[in-house]
Amino acid sequence: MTEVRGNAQQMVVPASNVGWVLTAAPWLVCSVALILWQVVCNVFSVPDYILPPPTQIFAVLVNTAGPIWFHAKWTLATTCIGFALSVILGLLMGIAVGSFRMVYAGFYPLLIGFNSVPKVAVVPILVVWFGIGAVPAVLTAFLMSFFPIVVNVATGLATVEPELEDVLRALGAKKRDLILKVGLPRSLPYFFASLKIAITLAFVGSVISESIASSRGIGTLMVRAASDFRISLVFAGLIVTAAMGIIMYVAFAILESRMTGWAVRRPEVQ
Amino acid sequence: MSASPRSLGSRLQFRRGHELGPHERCTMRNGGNFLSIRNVHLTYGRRDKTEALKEFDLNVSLGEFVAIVGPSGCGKSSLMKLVTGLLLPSQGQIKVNGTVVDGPLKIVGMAFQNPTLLPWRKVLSNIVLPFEIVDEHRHKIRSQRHVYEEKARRLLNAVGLPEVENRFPWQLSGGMQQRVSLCRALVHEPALLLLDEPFGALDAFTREDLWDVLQDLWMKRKFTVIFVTHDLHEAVYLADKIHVMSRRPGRIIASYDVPIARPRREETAFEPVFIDIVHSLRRLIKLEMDGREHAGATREVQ
Repeated sequence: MTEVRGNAQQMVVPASNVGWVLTAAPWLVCSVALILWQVVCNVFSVPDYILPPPTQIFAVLVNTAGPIWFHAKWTLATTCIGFALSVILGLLMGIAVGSFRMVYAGFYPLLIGFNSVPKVAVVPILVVWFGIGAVPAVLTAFLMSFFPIVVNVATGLATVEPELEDVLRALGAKKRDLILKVGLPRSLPYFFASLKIAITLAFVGSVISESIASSRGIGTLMVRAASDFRISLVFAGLIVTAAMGIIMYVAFAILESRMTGWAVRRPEVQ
Repeated sequence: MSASPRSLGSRLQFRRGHELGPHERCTMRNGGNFLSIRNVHLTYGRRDKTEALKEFDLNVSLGEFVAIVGPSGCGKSSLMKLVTGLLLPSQGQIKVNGTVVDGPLKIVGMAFQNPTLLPWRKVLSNIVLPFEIVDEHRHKIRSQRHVYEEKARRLLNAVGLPEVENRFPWQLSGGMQQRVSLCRALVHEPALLLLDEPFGALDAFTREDLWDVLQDLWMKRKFTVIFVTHDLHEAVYLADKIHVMSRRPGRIIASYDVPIARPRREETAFEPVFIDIVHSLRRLIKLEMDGREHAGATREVQ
């Protein structure tokens, strides 16, 4: 064992040396892209209403911070509510689909069909049912993020080793024991992985809904700005949405590594 | 078949209220057989029926160490599932301790080639798992966890792993994981232990090491073992009795007694009796794999 650990440490040391490069990499790429963008705008003197340069977008971001924040808050709220709904219902549905063959057979094709429907097409129906406001945005966010959670949780539950199941059933384990002791903990890494995807999809959902029918939210802001030819503001809205998506993603990535550390086998031991 | 009732080192516990204390003389039905399989057939599938087992008969006495060998794909794993009640025979009858098996037995220890430990639980908590499931213990485990953990610890010591209880299974080598898997199969002191090629994926040294671990545990506790293996040396080294299975559909075509004193050690493998049995087994299985029917139904080598 000591030998193994010694080797591993030798491998870890150079890795930690490149660590700061890895941390800096996304910022570097981002900066280079922004500089290129700026240069292209200036050199070819691209009109502002086609593609505003980053400096101008930044200026708009600062100048209209108040209204942007007002709309961003709204979008954040509707997204989070829709996402919370899909976490709860997705988890329950995933457990049902992954544990019971009858539920799988009955519901899975339906779920796939449901997921294939473009959500843009559903928004008008939601508006007819619930009126303009928060509800369609929440529901669209939910619809977008529900499916990946169901599929991932179901996969985790359905891929329990049959031998392990035999060991437990030979001890008298009931279905409930198998789900609680093995299936659920096993599907946790799948579940947390799906949360990262689902949260970004939830943003897409609420912004789509807001841009079609709402009086508040980043989606509304961008549609209005576009109709006024304030393209810088549209870009500012895009950047704010992206930033919110990244922040939520990172939050769930951290949660994931906290909750399911056992699934990420550390290099020091292998 | 040896029918002498033995006193047991460990308590026997069964589903339908059968409880045998350590000093009780075991009054066994079925002529002293702990496990009896009578004329069992097992067919898979609805349309293209494959016969896994046909006219299968087997008797195992209480506390006996039985090895099952045979050509690959002879239905050994199906046999395991039948004995534990995870699968029901298409025909015939299986009795464990005089009771017909008609559902999962609820108190059998099992271990496979794959250690199947839970990667999110530390070693000790993996071993305690059976207590969280077996009816008799599941309600007590919360309040008396330390008692159960102490049992697990003692077993870990017995298999030569005193210092790993707080590690995760994936931090252990394959051999260590298999030891932990053995502990999990034995911790609730099952009357019956089923092992399906448990050492098949290990290197030769680790495997031989584990033979002794298993033998020592068995000599101390005298549980009944059914040990499925491809390794004939392993079978002769460990078992009191070796049953040879035919090709699919599987049935027992020969039974060997292994009259070698215990504890068997490394040198035992060089004794003439040992080598004779291994050779004889090998010939028989080769014949069976070549497809020729073996004439003598049961042979006893003394």
